[in-house]
Amino acid sequence: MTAVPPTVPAVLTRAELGEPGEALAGESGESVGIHRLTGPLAGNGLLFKQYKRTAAQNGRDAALEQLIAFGRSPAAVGRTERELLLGCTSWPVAKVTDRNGELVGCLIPEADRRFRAENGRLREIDTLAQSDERLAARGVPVTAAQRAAVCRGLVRVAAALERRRLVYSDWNYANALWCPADCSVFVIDIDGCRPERMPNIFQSDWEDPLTDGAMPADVFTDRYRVALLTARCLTGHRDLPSVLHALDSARDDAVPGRSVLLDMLWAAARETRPASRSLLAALDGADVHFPVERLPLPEPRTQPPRRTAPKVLASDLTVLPDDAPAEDPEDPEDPTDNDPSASPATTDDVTATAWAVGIVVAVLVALLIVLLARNG
Amino acid sequence: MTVPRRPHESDRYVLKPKCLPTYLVIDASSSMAPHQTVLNETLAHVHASIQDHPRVSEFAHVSLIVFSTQAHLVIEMANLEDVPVMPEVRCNGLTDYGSAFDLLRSRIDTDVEELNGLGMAVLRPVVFLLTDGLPTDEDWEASFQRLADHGWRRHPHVITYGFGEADRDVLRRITTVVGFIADQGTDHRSALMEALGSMLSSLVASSEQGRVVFNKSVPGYQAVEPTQDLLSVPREYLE
Repeated sequence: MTAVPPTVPAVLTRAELGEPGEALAGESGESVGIHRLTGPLAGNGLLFKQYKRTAAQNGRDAALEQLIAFGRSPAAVGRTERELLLGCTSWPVAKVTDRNGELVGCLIPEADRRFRAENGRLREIDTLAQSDERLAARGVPVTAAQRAAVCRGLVRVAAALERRRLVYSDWNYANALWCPADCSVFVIDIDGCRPERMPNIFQSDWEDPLTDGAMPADVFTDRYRVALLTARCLTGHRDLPSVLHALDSARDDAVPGRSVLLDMLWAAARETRPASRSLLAALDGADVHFPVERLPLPEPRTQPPRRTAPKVLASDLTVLPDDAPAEDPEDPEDPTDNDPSASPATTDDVTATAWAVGIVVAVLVALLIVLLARNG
Repeated sequence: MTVPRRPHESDRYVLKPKCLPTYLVIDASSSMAPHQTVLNETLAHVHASIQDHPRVSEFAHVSLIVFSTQAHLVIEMANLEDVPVMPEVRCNGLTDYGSAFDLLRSRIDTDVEELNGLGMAVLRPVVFLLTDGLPTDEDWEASFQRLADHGWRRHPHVITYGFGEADRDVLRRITTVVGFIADQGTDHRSALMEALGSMLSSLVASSEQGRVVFNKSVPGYQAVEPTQDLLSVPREYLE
């Protein structure tokens, strides 16, 4: 467990931190950046995460205070979750304000060195959600047991948050780090958690199909997203149809928790998604099944055979294809183009028409040949 | 900055993975020869960084085009994870912009077609063009007009970086989103590193947002507004 340094008060002013040190991250979400400390608190493993002005205006202040108080509480209630969250996440340690008491940021613990790759970069869980072959090619071979162990770590964090009725909303490839040596995980950006519900953070490729964009994120959104991250890490597949079909066709012993994952991802009603602690139990080997009605699986993604590696050329101009485009790219100016999947119907129509014309022509040609033959 | 989209019901849930065809177009004329090593080191860094972020490489498929007396397709449109190492770029020859724009236009048609065939939801392509000089051909502007023609539905977003002898006025005529001209006295090394760093940060942010995200400012550079009729996004998005 990462102990809160005893000398760090729960609230500090920006001036008390001194000049910001080395920048470790740039602008992202509600954060302006993350810096090392240079002042009297330098060297204690804490970082300064600076917020945009909007953070103070949208209720983050009170939520952050609650998180910090929970992390510092000596109470027996919640001790198990507290120890887990302090050890496995960048749980906020202190609030930072300006001279007027306005929220400007917070102090968070830096991820341990073991979460960095040999090149010094943080090892995001993004790098685990790949096929065995690709991981081996990159020099990081991973076994199924290792995948399962890392996922248990992730889901433990999710279950602890859920138990404390906290919503994270931000499960994705970038917000969890992992260590191949001991299969531990470290979840970051945790200071944005809110009790019960919070604004739904838009994340391309992580959108909950049953949570409308205008709805706040809640525990059911979190269950979907943590299940998606877990399933991607377990199966090595990334696009949703492939993930679902990999889970559906796998043996129980090959992908632990696959049935619960399918329930969490593909339940017909969001409220019937099983809890994260149930997924944890399943990952731990429990034979857990729920009477959850699931939606029909989407069609598997059809992928035409592709060359194994792109060509690296010295190059030649490629002749323009003369057939009609299958689809057109997204155009931010034209909402009708915004959905790149909007045009296949037109394409299908064009294709069907072409076939029909072809058949009519073929029949006419055949008739002509027969007539000519008879006349001949 | 994000290129915004209007809400669309089907945006909420699309099973096709989105893909941003990304073209890195580099001036490899003889004036770049003294900086060839820096260029190759920086390209290798970009390659390694993208490989460390599979979510970026699966979203932004990348093609590398270099141009001098002619334009050359160096890397076909690919998930960079499938490219083991970046090839080395050699710099010599003239600065033929027109051949680069012509090659780009033909490649975009080919690549969009192929990505669609792979079941991807293909976004409007984005071009990051780096140049350190002035065009030596005469018809480059006509070639660019064909590339940026709004009547062609695949016309790309073009973001440019100019340094060395690059000219602000030329830059604004080959840009459709935002251009950057290096401050006077900026050396090639820093200019190249900042430009490719800016491209990298755009791609990382774009992969998170699922749409094109670009920087409004780059250290050591001044922003250049494109000519009005070339804009591939409404002007208010640039303000």
